[in-house]
Amino acid sequence: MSQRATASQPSSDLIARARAHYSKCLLCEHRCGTDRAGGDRGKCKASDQVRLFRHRIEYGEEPELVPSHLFYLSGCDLRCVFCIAGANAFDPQRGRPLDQALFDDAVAWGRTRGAKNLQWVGGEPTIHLPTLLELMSRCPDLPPIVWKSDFYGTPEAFELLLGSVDVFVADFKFGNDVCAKRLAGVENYTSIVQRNLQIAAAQADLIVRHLLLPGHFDCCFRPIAAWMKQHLPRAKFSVRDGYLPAWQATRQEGLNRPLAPNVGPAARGLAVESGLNLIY
Amino acid sequence: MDLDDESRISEITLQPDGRIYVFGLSREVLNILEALCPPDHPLREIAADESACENAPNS
Repeated sequence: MSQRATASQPSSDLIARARAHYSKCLLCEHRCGTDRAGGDRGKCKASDQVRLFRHRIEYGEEPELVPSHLFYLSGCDLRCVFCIAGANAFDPQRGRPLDQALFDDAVAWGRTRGAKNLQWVGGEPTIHLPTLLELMSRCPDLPPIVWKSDFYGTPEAFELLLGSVDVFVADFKFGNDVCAKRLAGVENYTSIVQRNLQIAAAQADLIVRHLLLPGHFDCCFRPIAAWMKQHLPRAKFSVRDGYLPAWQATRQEGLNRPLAPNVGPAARGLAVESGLNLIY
Repeated sequence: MDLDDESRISEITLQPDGRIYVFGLSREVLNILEALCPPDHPLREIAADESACENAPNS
């Protein structure tokens, strides 16, 4: 996957339509309609500037993706109390402005390190979609694109991504709206993510990832596995059991401890029993 | 290349029960973990793939 397979570089028309969101932002399902370019700030607090707080080659992704060159962008539309990136994710002023020169240099560096792909992560890349499309359109040697997202974007955002992404990695975090509201501060989570998973599955390769949370096997993992079985049984499913308390979760009862050792195998067992396409 | 310093950091956590957590798994840390032979199927798969790439002609 070191050469672009199916996705193409974004067109100028697409970029122009994307940039309109910086004046009236409807990229995520908070649907603030904020004039980010004019200085207003919505839920994510992001301006129209993208900042990179880390980029590196990583081997901890699903085996088919590694080595993957991850670009970590600050700013996010969710506020997950257990976010491993913490302040870097939630403060869109963190990091260095990601301009074309930095991007092109970083991509070239990733090539020399053997990266199979470029993976946008956050924070949440969807809130920066206009600039990312522009950067990708001007990059002379763009590798395959992996878009790792919380999948809380709007259909309008996914439409803009059509054709520019080779692999979607979806973080399906919560199996019900109560946990999503309590732990990430978002409304209508499950129906939005489920809708977007089906949109993405029709667009490109899709990996659905779930990070097991302590105490959330029955309320979150089981409903996610059941939904996957019913609606996306052939989609690649990745169960992650590396939870460690981070950010505000270190002070939150129940989430302030690692996952018990038996939970990962139990979840993978249920996924296999359910006939899911378990890849991790 | 003069880029973000965090680009060169892997965060490793050892649990009292022996579990090892790595955030930002680099090639070098992967090699170390591989040497420890953990019962971790995806890790073994990744390490095997990387080893195959290294040994392949023209790699």
